[in-house]
Amino acid sequence: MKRKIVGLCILAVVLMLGLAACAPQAAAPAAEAPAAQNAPAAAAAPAQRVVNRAGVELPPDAAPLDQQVLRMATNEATWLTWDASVYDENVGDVFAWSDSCVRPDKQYEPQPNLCTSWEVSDDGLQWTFHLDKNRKWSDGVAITADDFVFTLQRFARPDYDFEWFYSMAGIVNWDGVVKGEVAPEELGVHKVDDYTFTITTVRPTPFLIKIMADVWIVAKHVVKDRLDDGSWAFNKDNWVFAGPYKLDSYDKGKQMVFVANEMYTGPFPPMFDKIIYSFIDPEVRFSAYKNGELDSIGGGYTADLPPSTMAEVMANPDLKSQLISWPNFITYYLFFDTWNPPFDNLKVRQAFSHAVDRDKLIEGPLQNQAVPAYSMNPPGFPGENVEELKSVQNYDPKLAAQLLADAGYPGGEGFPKLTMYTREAQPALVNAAELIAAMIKDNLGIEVEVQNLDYSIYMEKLYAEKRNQGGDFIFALVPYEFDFVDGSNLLGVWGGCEPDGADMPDMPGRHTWYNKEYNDLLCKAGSIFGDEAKRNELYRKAERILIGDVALVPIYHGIFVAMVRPDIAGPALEPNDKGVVTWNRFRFASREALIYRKIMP
Amino acid sequence: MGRFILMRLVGLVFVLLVLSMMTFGLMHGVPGGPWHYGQRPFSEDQIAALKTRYGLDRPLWEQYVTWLSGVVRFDFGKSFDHPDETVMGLVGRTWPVTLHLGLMALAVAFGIGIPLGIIAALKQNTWVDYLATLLSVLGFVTPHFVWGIVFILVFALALNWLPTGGWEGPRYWILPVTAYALAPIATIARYTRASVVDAIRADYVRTARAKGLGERSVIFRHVMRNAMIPMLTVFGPIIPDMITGSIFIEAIFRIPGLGKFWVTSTFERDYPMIIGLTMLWAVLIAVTYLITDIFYVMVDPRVHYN
Amino acid sequence: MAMDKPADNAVDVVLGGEATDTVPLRQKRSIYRDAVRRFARNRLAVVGLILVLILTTLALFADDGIFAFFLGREPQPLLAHTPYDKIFYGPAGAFPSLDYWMGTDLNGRDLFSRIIFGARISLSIGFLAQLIALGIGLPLGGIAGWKGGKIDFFVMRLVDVMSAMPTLLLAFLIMARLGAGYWNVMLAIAITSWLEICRLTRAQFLMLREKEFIEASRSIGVGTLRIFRLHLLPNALAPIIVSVTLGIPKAIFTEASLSFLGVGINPPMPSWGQMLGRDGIANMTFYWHLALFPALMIAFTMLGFTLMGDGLRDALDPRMLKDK
Repeated sequence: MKRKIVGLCILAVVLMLGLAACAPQAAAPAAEAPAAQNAPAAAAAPAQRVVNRAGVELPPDAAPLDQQVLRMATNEATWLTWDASVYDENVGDVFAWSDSCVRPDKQYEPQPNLCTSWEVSDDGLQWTFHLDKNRKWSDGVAITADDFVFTLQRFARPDYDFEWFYSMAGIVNWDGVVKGEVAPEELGVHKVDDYTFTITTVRPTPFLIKIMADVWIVAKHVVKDRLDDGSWAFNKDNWVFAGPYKLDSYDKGKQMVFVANEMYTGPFPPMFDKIIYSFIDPEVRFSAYKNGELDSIGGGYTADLPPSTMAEVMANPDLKSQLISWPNFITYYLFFDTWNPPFDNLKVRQAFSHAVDRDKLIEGPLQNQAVPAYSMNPPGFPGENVEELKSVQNYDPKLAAQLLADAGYPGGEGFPKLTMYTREAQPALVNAAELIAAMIKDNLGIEVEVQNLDYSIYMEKLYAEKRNQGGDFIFALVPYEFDFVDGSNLLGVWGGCEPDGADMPDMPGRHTWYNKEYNDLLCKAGSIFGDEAKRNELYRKAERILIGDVALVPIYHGIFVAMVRPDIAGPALEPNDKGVVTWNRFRFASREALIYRKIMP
Repeated sequence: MGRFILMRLVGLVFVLLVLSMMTFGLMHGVPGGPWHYGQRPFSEDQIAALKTRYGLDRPLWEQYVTWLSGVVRFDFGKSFDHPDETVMGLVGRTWPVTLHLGLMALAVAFGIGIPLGIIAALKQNTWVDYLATLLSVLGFVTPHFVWGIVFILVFALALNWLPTGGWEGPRYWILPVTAYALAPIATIARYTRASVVDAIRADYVRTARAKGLGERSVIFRHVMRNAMIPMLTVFGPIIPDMITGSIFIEAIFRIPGLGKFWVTSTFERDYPMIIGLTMLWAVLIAVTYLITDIFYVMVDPRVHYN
Repeated sequence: MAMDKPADNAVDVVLGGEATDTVPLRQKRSIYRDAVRRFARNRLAVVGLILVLILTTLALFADDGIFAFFLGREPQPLLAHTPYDKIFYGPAGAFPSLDYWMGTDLNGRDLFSRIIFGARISLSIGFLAQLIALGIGLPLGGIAGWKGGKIDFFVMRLVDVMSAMPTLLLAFLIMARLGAGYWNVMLAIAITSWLEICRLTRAQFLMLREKEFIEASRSIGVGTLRIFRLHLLPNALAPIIVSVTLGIPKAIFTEASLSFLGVGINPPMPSWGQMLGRDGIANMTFYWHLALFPALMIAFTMLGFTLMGDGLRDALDPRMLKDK
């Protein structure tokens, strides 16, 4: 009797052990036995991989699911959808609402995304795009060519504040549709079949594919003929998404919550299960970060990390290890009204260009935020000519004073008092402007006052100046950030193909500077297919004219800085082939989609 | 009395009309608009289309009349900056929080300020007076946004006693309310002291004391009543000021209230919001003044209005 | 209550010994002397006065502009070490040391010198703005309180309308139209400050109008202007003085807020408000000296004017003019 009981017990124990051994393998189909055995010795180490709600499996060192929540901060803006406004949309348009045809990789090369392949006709005027047949919106409806055609037709309207960006592609009838003179159906974007569409351009535009990286599609079956003002986007019923994350809730004044989108089948699977964007003002984000309430701050234009915060971070080894920085393709420059005195005199402009000591600027108010700029194209940008152009506008106060005297204003005598305008600049930038003003006063003897203008008022003055409507807006400091990584982009601020019969105010470029040869070079380079080297050569030639004629005085190129908690890891945080981690703005590889929280050792 | 109030209400309507016209004209006089400027210039057609979208292409008087006809139905239009919400809705959503913050701060301010001022006045020119004066002035001498940041640095980050921001519960209220109340405490204490000192010196007080009235009776029945008038003049406007929020406090402590709209609606050219807020402010101020004027009559029987 | 000196004006003669109301010339002088004595006895008030005097000295003698003006040469720094826009006088962002008493800002400018010049700019804005406000508010409020009726009604409605205009909006609009800068900031502040003075004056006049001695003066035909000058103003003065004295630092505050929002004084001109509101706040966590010193100066200014204002109020209290 006893022996039977003992035997039964042993049998029971053996059975239980057997079940225990089998169970993990049943519950985690993809986990290999070695992985289970290699699980860290830590007490809470899971025997299986963490899988989020979208079915994405996380790396072995991922923290448990309830910790896969990313907390970020942003400003609350006006719109929830990209096609109502770019400048005023809440973060989330990009990877939540929508997705794009192609997406640049870390080397800035466009890679297939929604468009799996494309080809260009022999005359370079027609592009054909083929779509991924498996991609769906989050409500299960397929993403088709209809969406692309609908989107581009929708973008071509006069009250869309980002229309100018797509106009650079030179699509047939674009301007006509924008003006309302031509029906949207006549736009050079046509559906061939459900998964193929074509784009026709006015002249060969090799960089069209790069512009396509920023065509974020709008769901035709949801938007249909709804208002262009985007107010429909606040209605939960209209929440349909194409990207790796989808909006789960929007708490006005408080936060937006995104969750992983299980319908997403694209190349950037969401790793975090949830992303919470809190609406927090930039000035107080660092405190929240230090307090452990945020996982990452910085990475954009905002004043998350002003000079004092940067100084504090640099002085603290622990914080410093959480800092990542990477160069941004942005140039801050001084520009002039070259169509009217006193800046119509080249010598005057040259005097100014030699009077600014950029190195001192970087040491002082711009520490940790900038590198000196002597050209429009920053280092690493296609068509850049940084090395050669460095010496053209070098710092040489004696030369500056001499040039000014030659121009007829010895010691600054007779030169009108100047106002340097800045466009809603952050305190650090206003400091920099003050410093430039002081340098001009010291080296040239000209009185300069700095005035920081509201963004709208600044732009209105700028446009009025371009239309040559006079006024005192003759000297200002402003940035331009790249739109897409192509030699034509930054240089295009100053010129381009000239429209037939245009007057000076209608010439391309946003500033009052004009040079025929420059425009011809830009126009020519913008149409060459398949020979990037040749294009860049032309751009270099054009930039020599730009800098030599002192259309502008480049001051600095910005550096982005961001702080990321040490327990955040993932492919997005790995360096590119230049060894730089680009924790980029949304336009590049979806940063939020390629990171997760790992267990700290 | 009733006629007086009626007259004042009529006056209020008049004021609101004039003010709305003034505001309308002024805000449309500033360059720019509710749209955003891109990196490249807009063409004339584009500006025109943008104006049409916001209804700004019609003549100014017509826009004003449209607005006015909405107002009489309590419809202040949709906010440009929050396109899915009406101005009323937006205010309705955010003002309660601000009101909450403001009322708490006022309670603290009056609760500390008035006793502080009375004590200082009663012990005029003694060390008690000096101490009370200095303490009250302390909150006054630095802008409250500086205090706010100092509090966060000290109590939230260094000592970790309190959260850095948000508005979720009583713990979150402490720092912002304190920072916000410091300046009014000082003002209230100062003016209370001044008024009470003023009143105490009056001869009737001396007479009352000579008659043998107890000190407390003297103070409350005679001094305070007379001290109230100049006090009311100053305290009145503090109330609407506090309950319409401070952009600084709300930004620094991440409080989801009305305060930030004062600034953001101006910068964003959110015209319906600007004029809606202005009207709100006007009504609050005018009602406050009306109430203080009624109090004058109640407190000082010699005051009467023609 | 008996007077110390015999009356020498008609009213007193007529009314005999009832002397609570009139202020004969000789009497007035001794009242002010009394006031000075009372002020001097108030230690806090004296402290306030000293602070104000120190600040005024700083403002006046930051550089020797006064002498330079008459001597026809460029002003040289006097109390300050360098002109306020001298960049890279020292290393950027240096902390206070023997070389740089208050450190340097991010452009390497000596903070001490900028603070001293800031006294000139901040105080002048505060003072002049209040002066303009007084010039508008006092007459308007006085007439409203005295006359009552329709004039009172319209003045108060004007005050209501003006005070119903949010300060920021008005300031911003002025800046947008005219451009930011010294005079425009002053204008904006003045336009928003006269309201309180007007209301105070009106309230006081309203109250005093009902007092018997005023009725008495009127009944014997004393001219309105004389009544204003001799009776109403001195009585009403106390809260107005307090208001003006407190209004000066309030103006500095307003200017700080405007700078915080980006529409204040233009650089490189330093004002404490601008230094605190712009650089100070943004860099407070590390470059604490950029915020501390302007904040301290604003604090001292507040303290000085507040204590002085209170002292003045107490001293000028025309106790003999109070009713029975």
